[in-house]
Amino acid sequence: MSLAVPKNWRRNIALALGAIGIIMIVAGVATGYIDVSLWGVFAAMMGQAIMLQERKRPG
Amino acid sequence: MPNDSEAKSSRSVIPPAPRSWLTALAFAGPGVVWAAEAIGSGELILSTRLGTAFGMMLLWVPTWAVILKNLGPGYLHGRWALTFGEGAMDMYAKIPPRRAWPIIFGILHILAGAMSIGALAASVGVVAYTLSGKAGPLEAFTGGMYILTLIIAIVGLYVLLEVIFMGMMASMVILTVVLAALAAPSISEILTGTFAIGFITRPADWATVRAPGVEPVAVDPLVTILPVLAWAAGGSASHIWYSYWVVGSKYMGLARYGEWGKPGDISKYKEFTPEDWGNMRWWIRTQIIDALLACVLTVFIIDAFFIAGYSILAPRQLLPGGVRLAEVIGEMYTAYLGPRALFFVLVGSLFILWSTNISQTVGWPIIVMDGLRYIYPKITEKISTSALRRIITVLMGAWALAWALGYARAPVELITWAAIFDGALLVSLQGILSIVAWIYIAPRELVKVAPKERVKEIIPRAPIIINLVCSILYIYFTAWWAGRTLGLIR
Repeated sequence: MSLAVPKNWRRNIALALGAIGIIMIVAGVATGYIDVSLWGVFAAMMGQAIMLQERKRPG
Repeated sequence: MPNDSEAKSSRSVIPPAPRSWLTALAFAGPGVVWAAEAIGSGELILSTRLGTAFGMMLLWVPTWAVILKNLGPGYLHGRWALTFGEGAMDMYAKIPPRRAWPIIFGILHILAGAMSIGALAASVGVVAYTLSGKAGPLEAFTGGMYILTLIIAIVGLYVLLEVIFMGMMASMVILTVVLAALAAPSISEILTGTFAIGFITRPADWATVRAPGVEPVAVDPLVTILPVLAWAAGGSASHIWYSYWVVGSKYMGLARYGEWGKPGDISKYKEFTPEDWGNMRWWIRTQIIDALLACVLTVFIIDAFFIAGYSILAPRQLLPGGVRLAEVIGEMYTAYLGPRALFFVLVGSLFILWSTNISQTVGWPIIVMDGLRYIYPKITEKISTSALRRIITVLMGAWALAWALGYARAPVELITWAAIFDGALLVSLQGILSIVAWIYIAPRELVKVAPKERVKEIIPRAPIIINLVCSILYIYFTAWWAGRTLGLIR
């Protein structure tokens, strides 16, 4: 089973997750809500994971 | 000229290799999978417990366990896949008494697999139970989570969940490394602990006291040290899987023609051009980088958990284990990050253990199937590979579930036994077989298809020595533990 979306869409989702993650990390640190920062790290890392899968995908 | 290069590449037997150490890093795929799969209970639970109960002087245990296993038997299993284009079971099958070895490994891995999967399932159950606010009997969470794991493994949903698991695992790793850095003891303490090889100390008295919901460490340090040696960076199954991942990469050397469950075809060496031999040298270097990357990543992570346990849990006299396993791990993080971090940390711990549990449930039946074809080679003519995989998954899953429910309240006890069986006994055996395979079998097989000087180039040297040291250490510690457990030595 694979995500049947075009390659650039997966890349866009990864970039969006990275951007949301960074915003959440900064917002969490600024407001003192550490859990917001932690979920931000998770979002950014999911973005990284998608990018890593992209790199390994042949073609 | 494009036509020339096309003609050259069409004559090449193996894919063109990266020609610098830096570009080789970009091809380090199987090693990353290895590190991600191996991070589980050995790191989160066993290493943390060791650091908490024994202190910094035992930092050498997880550090050197990872270095020796990754660069010894682990590396050699992958190197075999690169050189022969076949998985580990086919390597064992070349060692006298030949097909007896894959059969022995297949059978032993049914038991090792069921125990290990059950041990992780019991840990997943405790974390899920804590995360739910203890909203029901613990055994219901253990059973429920494992049945869900089994469904994911059988249906093949793991591919969809992979991104979530990888994201959470990376987040938890970053968090733990930061935590260990914040709480870190002095550099001299870290260096002393890392190089105090062979030094053994007694556990702190408080850690050996039995209390409700807590699993104390045994007074005998070997009972706690051996499982960490055994399961740091995974056990014997991880080495076999690494050979499958190298073969599955389809780009490292002869892996291009290989697949798991099928003996490799080394007659390809007869068609090798000088360019192919140059590529082979660089594929070997690429795999060295691959295994080194897995090693460095895992050492960092396992040491981070050890240091976090020592610096944060030991002063509070909290030991992760038993029904309070997840609560204690949660406290390790909230001590620095505050109570708001608790939910994230519990979800993260659940995902670390759960993803390993799913990988085990998917991966172990493949080892068993790989051994089974040596008992009954025609089995795949009677039944499809996917149906056979599902049947073995369900049977092993049922056995694992029985282990998990039996040890639902004492997951560390089951992890200890599973680690010793899969990671100490079987790694010792793997170490000996790897030495025989590379010193006795490989040169004799390869010289039939390649010139002697080329064979010398592709036979590893340093990893065989590391593997020898690893085997001696593991056999020594396993024999010592067995002697004490059976009451033969004091």
